[in-house]
Amino acid sequence: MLLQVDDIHVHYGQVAAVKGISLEVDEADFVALIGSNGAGKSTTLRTISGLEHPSAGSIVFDGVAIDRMSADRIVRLGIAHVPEGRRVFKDLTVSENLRLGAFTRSDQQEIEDDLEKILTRFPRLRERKDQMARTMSGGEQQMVAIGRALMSKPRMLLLDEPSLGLAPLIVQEIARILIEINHSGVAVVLVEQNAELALELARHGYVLETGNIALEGEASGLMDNDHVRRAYLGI
Amino acid sequence: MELFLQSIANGLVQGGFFALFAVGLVLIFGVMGVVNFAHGELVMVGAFTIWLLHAQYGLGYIPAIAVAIVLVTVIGLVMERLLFRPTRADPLAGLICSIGILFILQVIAALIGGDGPSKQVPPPYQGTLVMFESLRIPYQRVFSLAISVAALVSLWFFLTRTRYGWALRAVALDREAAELQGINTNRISMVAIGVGTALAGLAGGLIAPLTNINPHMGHNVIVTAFIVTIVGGVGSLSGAVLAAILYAVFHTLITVYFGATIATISGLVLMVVVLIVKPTGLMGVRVSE
Repeated sequence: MLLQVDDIHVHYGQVAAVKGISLEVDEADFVALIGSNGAGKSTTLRTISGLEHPSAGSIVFDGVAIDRMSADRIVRLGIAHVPEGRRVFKDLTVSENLRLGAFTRSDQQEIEDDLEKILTRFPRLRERKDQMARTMSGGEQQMVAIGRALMSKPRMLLLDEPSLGLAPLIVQEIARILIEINHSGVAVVLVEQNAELALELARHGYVLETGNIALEGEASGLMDNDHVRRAYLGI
Repeated sequence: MELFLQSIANGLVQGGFFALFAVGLVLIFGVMGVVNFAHGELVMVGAFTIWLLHAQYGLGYIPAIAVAIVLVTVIGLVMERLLFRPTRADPLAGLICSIGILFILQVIAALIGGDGPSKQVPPPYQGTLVMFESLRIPYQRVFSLAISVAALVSLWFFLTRTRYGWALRAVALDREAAELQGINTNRISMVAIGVGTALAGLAGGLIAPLTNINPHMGHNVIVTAFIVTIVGGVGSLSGAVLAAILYAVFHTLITVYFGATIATISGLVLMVVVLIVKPTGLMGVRVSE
């Protein structure tokens, strides 16, 4: 087991956003978290990556308890988080953004090799590598955000709504990239409101409702579940 | 015409000082979200150190500048660690703490140097550079301008060519996203305030032989720094440098032709006009999307 989240509760002030969520991610797994707005999906991701801390419960990554650790230390253990809204550094160039993804690493030669690999995987970024990130389209910024996360050489990649606000063609491209990343051995945890997309890509799925897990199982099984079909797939 | 050219030359030297302390203010505000009201007093401490060590105790000018930089930087690091970091959640608290530091530093300076008449430091570099027959710049000012430019170029190099420089800009743009890259934002805050206050100490050291030193000289510095950062565009380093140079030349010319008081008033009017005509400043970018 790569990641084990056990019965975490997370509060924003007095408000409980997550009320007892448990989930597991295997090595090279692909897990989807689906649910409506305010179900606690983003909070769960933010708690795994250390931006929030649980008031109860535990999170263990590769045998290390990380629920009290700061975000910058968690990155060093091999968890990369592509946050909601992409959050690229807009007044930095594309290549500076990507190099910052490797901030925790000191293996200069390998960083250059990985940068080269990412520019090959995202040819549009190569053309624009000396441009400010703010001049890029939404889809290109999403690629910068994913590329930046990969530069830390993660064992697990957390993605929060990568399809949000993107044209269908770009969403397909991002989906293809996520599959490639997963096939290269990186575990992926995908939070999506686009439940259909998420369950197509993932092996396991969790359905979150008001801070709890309502359903979990094989992604293909969830796709056939009547409740999921009615509530999230609109069928 | 001669007076005009001479004033522009003096203005450029002045612009170097303005830029040194204005970029420090911008760095600290950008990375930590704190408006450091004590920044003018940090320049004062730098200048006071030169008066005490160089003019009173005979330490060499350059070693005295080095001590001033170290001393002011240490004050900055202590401010970050003991005041700004614990109050980070509340931007107003940091500002109020900095106002407290402002008074404390003024009082300490008055206790050490006395609150009597302003002090002067005899310029360590004598002589005057004469250019185009009539343009005269004292070597002391040439030295100041050269060091200011060198410091600003080094800062630019650090911010655009090193990974800690990128990290610093990243923290200023999006603290949380920076943490997600494994950047220790507390450490970057120390770097930002360290660099910002070191530049204030250097500015104090350079200005010491060219001005009247007293515990309240920080007041003019902070007013100037605010005008420059607002005209340049809050949060923009290149804007601050450009505005510092333009404002210094403008201020010098008005002082020469109309007097110092009119010059300060004109500076504030200029700031208000910029806020009305282009609220983001010369190089500012809009903050919200």
